[in-house]
Amino acid sequence: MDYTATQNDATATYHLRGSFTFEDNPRFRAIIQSIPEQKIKSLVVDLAAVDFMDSAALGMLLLLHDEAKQHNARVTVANPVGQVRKLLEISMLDTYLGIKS
Amino acid sequence: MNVIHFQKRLQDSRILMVDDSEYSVFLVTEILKNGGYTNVAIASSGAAALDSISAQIPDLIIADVLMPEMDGFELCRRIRALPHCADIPIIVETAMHSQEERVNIFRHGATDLMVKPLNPVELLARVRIHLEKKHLMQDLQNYQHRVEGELSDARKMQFALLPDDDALKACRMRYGLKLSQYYDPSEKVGGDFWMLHPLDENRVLMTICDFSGHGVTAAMNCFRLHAVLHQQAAQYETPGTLLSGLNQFLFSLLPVGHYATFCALLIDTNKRRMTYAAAGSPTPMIHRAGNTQVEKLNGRGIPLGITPDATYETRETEFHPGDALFLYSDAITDCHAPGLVALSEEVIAEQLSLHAKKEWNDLFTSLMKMHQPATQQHTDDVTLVLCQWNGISAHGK
Repeated sequence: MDYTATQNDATATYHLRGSFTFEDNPRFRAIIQSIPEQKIKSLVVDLAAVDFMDSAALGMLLLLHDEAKQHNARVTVANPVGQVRKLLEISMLDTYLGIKS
Repeated sequence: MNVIHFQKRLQDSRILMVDDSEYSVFLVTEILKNGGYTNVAIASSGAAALDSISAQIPDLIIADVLMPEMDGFELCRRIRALPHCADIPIIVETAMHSQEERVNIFRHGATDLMVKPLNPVELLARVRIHLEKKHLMQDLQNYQHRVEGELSDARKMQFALLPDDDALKACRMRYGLKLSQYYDPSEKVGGDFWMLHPLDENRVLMTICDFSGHGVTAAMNCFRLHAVLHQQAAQYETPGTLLSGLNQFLFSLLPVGHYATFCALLIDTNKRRMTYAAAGSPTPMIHRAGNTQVEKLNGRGIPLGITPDATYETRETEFHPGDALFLYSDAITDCHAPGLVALSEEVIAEQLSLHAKKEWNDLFTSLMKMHQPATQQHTDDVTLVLCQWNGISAHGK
């Protein structure tokens, strides 16, 4: 998985690309750990270019959600497609995390 | 590792010195003694060295090249051919300066080479490096061996969590339900399991679980939840209340980011109905008797352990004699590794229809062949369960 980040006022957006799996743990943890310094109110994880996500990646999204909540920031998952969308729907995390298309 | 302890282990190492010259032996043993190495055996010929090695394998060998009868080249070659001697460091001393001869010594199996006259500091440095490497490699191999042994035992314990042949037979006798299973953790142990909970003469509960991640952590979570289910599953009124209870339990137990997908299905042979609740589990499927259509149940639900606020509704469907229920882990539908094929729900449903006509023979084999056409390695744990109701129970209902 690769990503680029953009920031606009109090919203940080992460555009993820490729497959998002267990192996991306260190890289995604860096995003999670950067939340306290960023002083943002809203965090968007754009999954439009993610073609596969496993259960560990879902766990990482939950960690991000938890960390953001502790710093009064909101996480939104944007544009999931295909298998990624299906995974979020079956686990009802589309409602839990908040999804925008 | 304790540094002092390791230092002592190095100095206690057994060193075999092979040289026909008494003066050389004296010189090297004195240098070694000054370096703290006193466990030194002496052999004055290649043959004596081989005898000494067969009596006790040393930790390191220092050998001269020029010796009568058997020279250092031949000795290295013979040592490497002995059992358990492939990795002993052999330092060869030589006065030879030609490149070709030096290269030749390594070809015969020497680990390192020292040019005479010996420099004491250099000799001790080389001895230390090779002994350190030897002991660390040995420790690593011992550790790996021990962990592999423990994981093999853990794997046996994990297979013992699954319903055994007696449990399956009892279910067939009591309810007329014929159950078959396929189970394969991706590593030695895994995060999947399924269970059977006979409730009374007409009702039996089935549960299937998949913890996030795989390997040891997921397996330990399996054991914890299995114990709780074994004790408590029958106490809940409905599958929905069972999932709510388990969710509270796992939420208090699991760190953030860990969770379990889960499905509980209760078959009532008297009412010919099935009630079930799901927490993000792969879509359970029912092949209806005499029908080519496969009914997909609803697997939607927040996985267990994520939020204490999650609620789980109890859903309902019919279950008649001749119907067959198929449960599976997401390993076969959600995979991304080279060599593995993700099976869509449509493909699984097709296979169910096809195998229903063949009295369900080879369903698991066919699915696994489609999922992993070329390899035996998966990256996730695989569980497949088929439950057919032939409609004949002990009560003849």
